[in-house]
This record gives sequence, C-alpha cells and structure tokens, in this order.
Amino acid sequence: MATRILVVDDSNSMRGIIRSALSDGGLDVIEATNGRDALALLDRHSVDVIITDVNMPVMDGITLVKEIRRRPANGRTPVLVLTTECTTEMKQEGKAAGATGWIVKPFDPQQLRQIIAKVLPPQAG
Amino acid sequence: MEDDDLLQGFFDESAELLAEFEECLLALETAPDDQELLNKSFRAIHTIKGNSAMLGFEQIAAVAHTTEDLLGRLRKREMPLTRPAADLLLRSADVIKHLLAGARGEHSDETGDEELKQALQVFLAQSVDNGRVNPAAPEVGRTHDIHPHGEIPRIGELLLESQAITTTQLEDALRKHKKIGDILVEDLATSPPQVAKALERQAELQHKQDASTIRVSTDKVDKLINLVGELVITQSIINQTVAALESGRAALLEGAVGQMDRNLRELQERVMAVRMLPVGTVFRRFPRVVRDLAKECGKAISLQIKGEETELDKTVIERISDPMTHLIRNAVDHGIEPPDRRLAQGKPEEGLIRLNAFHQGGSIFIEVADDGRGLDRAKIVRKAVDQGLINGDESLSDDQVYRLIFRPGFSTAERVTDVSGRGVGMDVVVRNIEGLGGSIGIATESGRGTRFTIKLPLTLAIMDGLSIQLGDEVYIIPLGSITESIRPKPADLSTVVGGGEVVSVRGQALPIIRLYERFDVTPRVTDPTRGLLVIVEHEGRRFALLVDELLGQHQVVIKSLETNYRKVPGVSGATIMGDGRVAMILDVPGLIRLASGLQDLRAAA
Repeated sequence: MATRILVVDDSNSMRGIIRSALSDGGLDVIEATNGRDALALLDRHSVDVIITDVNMPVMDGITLVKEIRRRPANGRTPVLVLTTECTTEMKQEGKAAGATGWIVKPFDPQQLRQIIAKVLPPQAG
Repeated sequence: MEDDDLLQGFFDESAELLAEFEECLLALETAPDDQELLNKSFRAIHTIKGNSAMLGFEQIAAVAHTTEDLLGRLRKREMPLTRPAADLLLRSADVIKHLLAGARGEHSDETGDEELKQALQVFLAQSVDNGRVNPAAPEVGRTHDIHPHGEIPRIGELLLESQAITTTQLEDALRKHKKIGDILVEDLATSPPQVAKALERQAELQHKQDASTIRVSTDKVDKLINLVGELVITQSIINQTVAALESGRAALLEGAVGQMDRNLRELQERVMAVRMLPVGTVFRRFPRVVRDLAKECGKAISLQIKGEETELDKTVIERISDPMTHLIRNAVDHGIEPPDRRLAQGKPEEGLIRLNAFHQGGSIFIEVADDGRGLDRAKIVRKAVDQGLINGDESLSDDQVYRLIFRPGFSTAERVTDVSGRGVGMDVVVRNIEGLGGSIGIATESGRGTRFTIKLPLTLAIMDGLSIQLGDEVYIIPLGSITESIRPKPADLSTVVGGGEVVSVRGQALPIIRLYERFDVTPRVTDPTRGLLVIVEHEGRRFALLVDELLGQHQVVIKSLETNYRKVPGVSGATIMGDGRVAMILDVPGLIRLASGLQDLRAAA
C-alpha cells in the first residue's frame, strides 16, 4: 500500500513544488489549503505523514499541529512543519505543539524525501 | 514540462497575491487597525518570499524578506500603519512586480530593488526608536473555531459570535422575512459596518470552502466552447431535417432530438459560464489608479465600488479594462474639481467616483459616475462648431451634443494634460466597447457630475439575431440593435436635400440604407413599399435597412471573419445556418457610421 502524505499549505504554487519534490512512485499525496480542511481530510483518510506550513489563514500551522495531536488516530503520525520561519522560539513552539520535525524553506527536495523516509515507521502501511 | 507548469503557477499566484496585497493596503487606509487585513498582507508577501526562494529567484526573495519584516512589525502592532509606511509598501509591490516581469523575461529595466531595500531598512530602523504602539491590543484574530468542519456559519451566528447582537435580537429578527443583516441594522441592534464585516467573513469562508477548484487554461475552455458551438450548428441542421420528415413516422426521433436540444442548450450555458469571472478582478486595480492620480493632481478623491461579484466573460473583462481606466482617469483629471473649488461650491472637499456593475435584461451594465463639474453643453457645441463637426444652427438634443465628445480628436480640456490626454481619446474608448458588441451612454448635469453607462453582452461567442433575406443571401442582424420592422406606405417615403432617402416613422425621418447596394447583391426587391424596412438603432441614431424579407429569429454562434478571412467593413462576423450555408452578421454601429459619414458629406455639399 502506497505511503500517503498530507500536504497543508495555502499557496497553490508551493503545494505544486512540494508535490513535484515528492513525485516518486509509491507516494500518494493529498492536499489541503488550510488547517480546517486538513482536519476534515484526516476524518476521512488515514495518512502516514503530514507536512504543514505555519502561516495560513483560518488556522495557523502550530494550532493545526496541536489539533492533530489531540486526535487519537494521529497521536503518533509524523508531522513535519515546512516553513520559512526559522527562529529558535518558533521551533520550540513547534516542538511543544508536538511536531516531529521542522524544515526551513527553501528546502532541498532530496533532503525532504530523506527526512520523510526517516520519520516513517519501519513498515510503511 | 512539469517545471514550466510550476513556474507559471508561481507567476500566476504571485500576481494574484500582489493584487490582494494592494487591496489590503488600500483597505487598511480607512481601517488601519483591522488585524485580519494586516495578517492577510503579511501572508501575501510571506508566501511570495517562500516560493521565490524555493524557485531560485533570490532578488525577489530578498525584497520580499525586507518587506515582510516591516509587515511583521505592523502585524504585531509594534508600529502604526502611517501614510509613508503605506507608500513604501506599495512601492515594494511595484518593485516585486518589476522583478517578476524580469524573471518572466519581459523587460530588464532598473528595478530599483536596492534603493527600496535600503529605504525599507531605514524605515524599520527609525521605527524601533519610536517604541511600541498598542502593546495591549486585543487579539482580534480568530484562533478559536467553534464551527463544525466544513460548515459555513450564517450571518446571524457570526454577529452573535462577535457579540454584536444578543440571541433575543437574532430570534426576533428571524421571524420577519427580510435579510438578516438589514433587519438587525433597522432594529438598531447593530450597525452597517459590523454587518458588512460579518458578510465579508462569510464570503471569505465560502471562498475557502470553494477551494476545490482547478486552474484551466483559457485555450482548453475556448476549444470546448468552439466544439459546443459546432454542436449547436449541427443540432439545428438535425432539427430542420426532422421537422421536414412526415410527422408520425418520426415521433421517437423528434422526441430524442428535442431532448438533445435541451441538453445542448444547457451544456452551452454551462460551458459559457466556465469563462465567466467576477468583474471585481478588473475593478480591483482602480483604487490604486485613483489614489495615485488624485495625488498627482492634488485632489482628494474616494472611489466606491459596487457589484464586483457580477460576472462577465473573461475576454470581455480583459478588453474592458483599458476603456474603464480611461474613463476613470478622465473623471479624476477633468471631472472632479480641485478641493478649493469644490468647497466654494458647497460640495464636500473630497470628490466621489462610483463604479457599479449589474446584470439587467440579458446584458451587463457598468457605470462610472463622478460628482464633479459635469459636461458643459455650450462649450462642447462651440468646440464642435470650431472643428467643423456641426454647423451652429442645427438643433441638437442634449444627448446628441454630449455624444460629440466621442468623436475622434475631440477634447475640451483646457490643456491636454499628460495625465489622461495621451492620444487615447474617447473615440478609442467607444471603439473598444463597440468591438465587444456593447454601447456607451452619457448622463450629466452641469455642476453636479457625470455618469457613463457601458452596456455589454454577457458573452461574445453567441448572439440572438434576426435572419433576413437579401437576394440569394441571408444576413443576420443583431436582435439588440433592432427596434422594429415595417412595410412603409408610399406616402411615408421621401428624399431630402442632397439625395438621401428617408422614411417617416411616427413623425421622425429616418435615413434609408439600401443594403443590397452596400453589399453588392442583386436583391429581389428594390421598392421599399414591397420589401421590409428593419429599423436599427445605435447610440441614439436610427436608420432603416431595406431587406427583401424577414426569415426568423435565432441564436447564432459567432464565427470570426478576421481569423478565417479578413476584416470586412459593415460585417462583424459570420455564422453557419441550419442548412449549412454561411450568413454574414451585420455590424450595425459600423453601417450606421458609414451611412452617417455619407450623410455628413451630402449635407455639406
């Protein structure tokens, strides 16, 4: 079964870039433009990794991470925050919220794939 | 190529974000504490920063970064949004626009990004010393979302949530049947600005929910529309064929064809609708135009916009932008008086320009109105006489006088300012609008203001027309231009000085155009009393077209003559009839102009 990744970012362009970086056979990418829609998707699909931006309308990324962690099904799902924000405070906030990793934009596509491979549990799906 | 798609997506999105950014900034000028607007402005630049960095556009990322720093401070209320700050931010938007154009390979002028960055940094450094403003500003953002996922809250709920009303007030209001926002304002339970805010929020949420959209190239949509157009033509051939079959034998076939016809009509409507965009996409750039131009002219002007959600075909929207810009610049430059003159007349110092778009009777109307000095009838007449457009002793209606300003080269401005008189005259505006199958009207009152009303068809690709017989040929006359058709009596016909023929219709003498002469066709009828006169009108002028007979009314798919052949005067396009033959579509404004020209010549002789 293919690894499913949920990408949350309000920028069409950025989601396209991320999707392109992940365009490897065996990865199923689903997308949401904001935190609320992301949570709605999680209601309907099981997901192996979540990648989220921080600055989004309706619900910011840190709040989304907290909401994800409150869901019984996603207590351990790897959540990667992908953002231009890089201050120590923000990273700590992310960690406190329950994020698995913090990746700073601009990111290297190969690095992203490696990080995903690393955070996935040994047998994906 | 996937990379090309990503780049194009980036350019499209960045242009959209910059437009939103500008809108937010202009909105913030009247609502400087609106946290949501500040957040939105920040995010727009923040997104451009991230994406441009990702795609390797370092210069853009750098400018966006410094701009973002300023926006970050504003967002956190560490600084107030002063006029200089707003100007600087608008300048940033311009620089980023230039850099994006450069990235697309468009032009390579100096973009001024280094100066801008320095200016931004100087500004940021200054503000640090000014201390914090509003450190205890209440958190207005919505971190708390109490609504079930995916459900858009109703207005009443939103007002209740923001504590603008109480539950009792909401329930009382719901018992009546008017719009909830109106009722609550009437009951003095809340105020229009708060209702407007709630409406805005609702629209925003709706927009977010509609985020299951896809971008489609207009090319693909155009091909679909063409195909559907061809289907419509084939369909009418089938219709005709079926109608000619003996009835009773083809009942099943007739039924099926009828069903297909209905499906096709709906398909056509829906495919057309795909190309429709809200006119707000064009309107949104005007606040900036007005702001900059008013500043240049030393005037204070506010712009009110209504009906920005009204939808138009995409091509029409693109082509209406320039004419509208011209009208608006005219209003700012010539229409609205300088502040001291306004005060001297007892008018408010700030001038008002109003844009309004709405649907009515199958057309779309766009109004550009100002509360300025209005048109000076006497001055226009004087100028027209000077230019030899009219002779002084003609009695012209007000409308005819005002329409003189649409003639080429006509301008009554005291000095042709560089601002709006750059050789783009009102005649070009009119030609652009007519090229879209539309028309323009003027209403004005000296000292009170002027209003231009542009009327446009909803779509360019199909049209309602009347088919007429002329010799062996069939022509189509746009239904919108026709006022009536008559068979004249000999007593109604006469000739005027100069050789022109006229027909008397309810006391008015209308010039007759012998279409067969115009198109070099051998007609079946040359005597107007044995044929038919179709009375057409454009911009207040009426003419009678002589045709053999009327055939019928249909919806036709317009095929371009220009792309398939070349431009032909008097003809605006062609279509394929149900029997497979080609019919020309008459260009009524063009014909009227040609005929008037002839008339003027004869009158002068």
